[in-house]
Amino acid sequence: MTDLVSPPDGIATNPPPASPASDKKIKTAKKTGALGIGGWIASIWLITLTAAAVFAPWLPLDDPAKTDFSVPKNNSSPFTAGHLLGTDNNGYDILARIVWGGRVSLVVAAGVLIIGMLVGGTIGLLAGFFRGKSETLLMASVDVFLAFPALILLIAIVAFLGADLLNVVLGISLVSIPAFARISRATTLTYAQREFVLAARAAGASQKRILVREILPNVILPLLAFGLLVVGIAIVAEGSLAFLGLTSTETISWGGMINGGKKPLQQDNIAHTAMIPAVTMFLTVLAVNVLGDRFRAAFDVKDSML
Amino acid sequence: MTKYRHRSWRRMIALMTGLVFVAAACGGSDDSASTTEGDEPASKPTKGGELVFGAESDISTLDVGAAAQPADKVVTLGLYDPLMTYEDGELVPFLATSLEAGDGGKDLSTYTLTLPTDVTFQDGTPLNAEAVKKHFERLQDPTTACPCLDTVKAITNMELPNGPTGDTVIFTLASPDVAFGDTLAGSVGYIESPTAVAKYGDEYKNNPVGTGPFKLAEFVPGDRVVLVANPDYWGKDENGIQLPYLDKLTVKPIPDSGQRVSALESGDIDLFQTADTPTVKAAEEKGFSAQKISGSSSTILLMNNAKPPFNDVRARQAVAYCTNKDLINERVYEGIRQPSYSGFATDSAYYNADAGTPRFDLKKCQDLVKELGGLKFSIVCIPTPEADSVLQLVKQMGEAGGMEITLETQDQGAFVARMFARGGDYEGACFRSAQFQDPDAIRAGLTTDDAGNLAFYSNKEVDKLLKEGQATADFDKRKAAYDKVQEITGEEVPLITTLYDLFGNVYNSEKVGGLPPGEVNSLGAIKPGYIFVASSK
Amino acid sequence: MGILKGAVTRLLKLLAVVLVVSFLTFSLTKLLPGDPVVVLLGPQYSNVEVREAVQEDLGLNKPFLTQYVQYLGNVAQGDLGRSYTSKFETTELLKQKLPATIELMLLAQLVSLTLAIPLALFSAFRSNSRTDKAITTASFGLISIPGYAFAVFLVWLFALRFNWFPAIGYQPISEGIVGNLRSIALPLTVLVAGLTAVYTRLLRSDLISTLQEDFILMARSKGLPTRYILARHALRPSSFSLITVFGIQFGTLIGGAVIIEQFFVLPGIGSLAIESILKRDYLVVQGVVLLIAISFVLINFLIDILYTILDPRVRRAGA
Repeated sequence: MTDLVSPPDGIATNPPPASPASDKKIKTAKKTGALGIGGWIASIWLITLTAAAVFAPWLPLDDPAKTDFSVPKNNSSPFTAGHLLGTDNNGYDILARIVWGGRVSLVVAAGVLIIGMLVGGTIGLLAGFFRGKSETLLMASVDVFLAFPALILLIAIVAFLGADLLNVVLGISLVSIPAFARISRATTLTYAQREFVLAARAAGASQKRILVREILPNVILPLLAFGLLVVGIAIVAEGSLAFLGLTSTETISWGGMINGGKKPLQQDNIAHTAMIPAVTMFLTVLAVNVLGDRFRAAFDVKDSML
Repeated sequence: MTKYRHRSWRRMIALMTGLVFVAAACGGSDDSASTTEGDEPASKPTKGGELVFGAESDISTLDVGAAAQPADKVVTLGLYDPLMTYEDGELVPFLATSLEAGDGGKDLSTYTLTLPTDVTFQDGTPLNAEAVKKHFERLQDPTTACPCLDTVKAITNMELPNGPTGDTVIFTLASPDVAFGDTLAGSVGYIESPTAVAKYGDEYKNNPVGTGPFKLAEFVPGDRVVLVANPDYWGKDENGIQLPYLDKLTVKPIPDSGQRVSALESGDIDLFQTADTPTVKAAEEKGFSAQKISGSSSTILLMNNAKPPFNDVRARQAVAYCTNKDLINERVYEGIRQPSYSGFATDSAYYNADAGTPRFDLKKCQDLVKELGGLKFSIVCIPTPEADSVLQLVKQMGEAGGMEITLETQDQGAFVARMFARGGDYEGACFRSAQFQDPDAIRAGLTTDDAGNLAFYSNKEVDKLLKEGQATADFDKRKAAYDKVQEITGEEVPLITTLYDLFGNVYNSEKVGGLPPGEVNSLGAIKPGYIFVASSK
Repeated sequence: MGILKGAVTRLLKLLAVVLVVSFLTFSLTKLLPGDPVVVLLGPQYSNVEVREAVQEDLGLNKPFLTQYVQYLGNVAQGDLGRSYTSKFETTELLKQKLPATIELMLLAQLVSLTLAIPLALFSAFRSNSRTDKAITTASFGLISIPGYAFAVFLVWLFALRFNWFPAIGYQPISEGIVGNLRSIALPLTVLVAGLTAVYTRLLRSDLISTLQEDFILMARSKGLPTRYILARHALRPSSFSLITVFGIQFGTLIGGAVIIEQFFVLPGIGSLAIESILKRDYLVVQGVVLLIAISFVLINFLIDILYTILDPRVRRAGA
């Protein structure tokens, strides 16, 4: 009564963008689980990339950190002697670095999903379910985090902890926690009032049982859909740090490759060193986004059937 | 003591923005240490016009005593005049009218400086003995936080025999120093208006007033420094034209070296400076002109002589034997640079070609590593694309010799802290040595317990030889001392100089009429008072 | 009045958020390795006497909390302190960097909205048509482009190949509007591409769900023209997610355009933040974070008010 706009959740008055609560009424033509052609292509791309990244050490690739001195100059074009995608300005095999760089993106994605989603999701779930003081505290900290410029925080974290991959992943994951917490809480709130939860409660189910059996399964899906979106952002964010020269020299990442390739492009009109990692990153983020979208569409159908 | 020290560490700040290594020790040379190669001015200088200059890093200071990066140098050389300067390798008075060591040149601990009587600062304050005295007193105040503190603290007394408004200052130094005049040729020798300092206090840094050819019109850190001609400037060129030639010079920091070329191509700037050698070549291929400058300055692999594994001389030698400088030159610098086996420039009178510094020898390297039972260390650097390329090669070379090398990346603030605040918290590190004229410049970097000795090298004989070299003006004695120093360091490898820097001032010859020679005591900076617009018929 | 009291309470909450942010920043800067005095002094740092003199001069020798309380006191009087390295007033530095940031941010938002609203309206109304699919696919693509890679190629193409726009730099509006617009054309394009895509997608999906609501069906059955329905009935209730994200983007753009600013050498707030972090110029870092936090919080406060204007239900609930 006293609040001007009195949203229950502070600044996040309204449903967050990716929250299914906001678009739960979208009725897409697609049936549950249908990926569509785009979805299939995206899946195949991501699976190939992941497989290549995981098995990189056993693949018949050049060492990604060995200069090929037999090629007279660095930055040799694609399809030159023994290098399918050419070499970069260090004389490294670009194909090998793309594959190994995929590992970094994979680690970043895993970090965000494991740390960001797990921690943020749990916090949001508990806050949305139990409400009360813990919720107030959570929303207050989310407000603070949102007001804190994320990239600056990220840079500070990397500067503080050092620039190795682990710290970069940790930093990106930490920064993503509030977003996950918000989504998770908003979704929990909508489900906590649903008939099936009220029914379970009336039937005398314990709080723990309701949380784990009734709410969690419903929260996980939208969280995962949002997670895919964040994965895309996180891959780009790692690249941003690399682009600013704030990640380790020894980390092979697509962002670092783009950064290294921009000078050949601007100075010598050699485009492939920057273009190949840029296109790879673009396709990967695109694939992740397409999947996330399909995922949400599929989930929404389910949601509307409830 | 030595200007060497403050230059070297200031360079570190430049790392972030394009330079690679900073100096720990080494460097310094005499006479023709700096080689300038480039086109002679194509047209006769004329007055008027304006130009935009792309600097390789942000302008970090407009104050005296601190400027060391080429970007700072260009701006401060516009605002101020050094008391001394080098002309064709000769140390000569510039703003001053003379500088004499005591007792007819025999007493190197007293110097008499005479000033011109008709020069005023840009705010009308007359230049006199009092202004010079106040200048040094200001730098001696710790809260000025001048990196030159040790250098100016060596001045124990300043006497003004002709009174405060007179033209003479007699300096007394704590110990004999043959390089005092050389010091005054650097930013320590820029004199600022005492009236302005009194008026602006802390904010003087942003309201600089000197005697130089340009006045500050606007300073937006990170974006631009605008200099306009000082109409009352005292200097004239050999044809009697009053300097500066330009009406206005805008200096724009463009840290990204690729973007500097882009900006020159798109006409957003008219000339730029770069320490990035391939950029110079690329710009030349695009039809731009380049003035190339090299000298004692080189990239350095710094090793912590006080801690394992580099407290063992064999470990340092192993790294030196494994480092194939020609290969670095070929793969990273397109073969334009010159491998460095000494802290001195190869054309320096003090260069010792037979010092026995290790050359690339994989076999010797492998044997040493085997003898040591393996060698494992890390190299810490501020990442730049250029440094990355060199480091990755160094790593591969070390691995070929059986070493295990980790490349560590730190941001500028953390890097500086590791180098200076924690007693050398590193094993190997990237550095760059500075450009020098007087060989005494190498003293701080090699003297036991000197704050500038970042390699923590210690050798009593070297200490003694360096002290001797500082205390005498006799060329033969100095030459003998520095020859011996190079032999010892060649054997003990306190650090590894990799390649001499090649600095370029790249310009569009349709707009820029030609460049004056680079300042010999800095890496390529030019005196902006002498830049002129190409006369378009 | 309830509304006024509510506004005051809300503002107090916002103040608390800003305070916590500033405290966190202050603590963070103390935790970071590296110390402004080392950056200032270099090797001279090992000289204890000099180090202490400089620390005292900068007020860094006092206990942490004392420093913080003193800082807050100064901030309350509008004094954000002086840069350790350049000695500029932080407020002066912010003032120098704000024009470029604000212009870029406002234009990016404005252009993106101007593009996104018609695109989304069209796309939603003709959903699943070929044009809709083209728009959806294009926005998907644009969202997925890493901004820095896009920037590199824009410069290569438009500054180097065609020489239409400058590769670097920012020309203040005071020096001519044409030059000014040319100087921000490329960075603006990078920002607009991403934003337009995000906004189009958001608005489209919300519009589609609104178009299925009963009141739209009712309007349709009344025979109202489609354009009228879209503009008068559907747009308003569909714009909530858009406005939320719009608000959040303001915060992101103030400090988050760092890479764009760095690459195009624009004198903006983001570059100032990075430079200051790297030089451990903490008073400036705090000033920047404070500015971003305050603007973020204020913009979102305004957006909350906008909700009440857009949606009568919220207004009624508040009354």
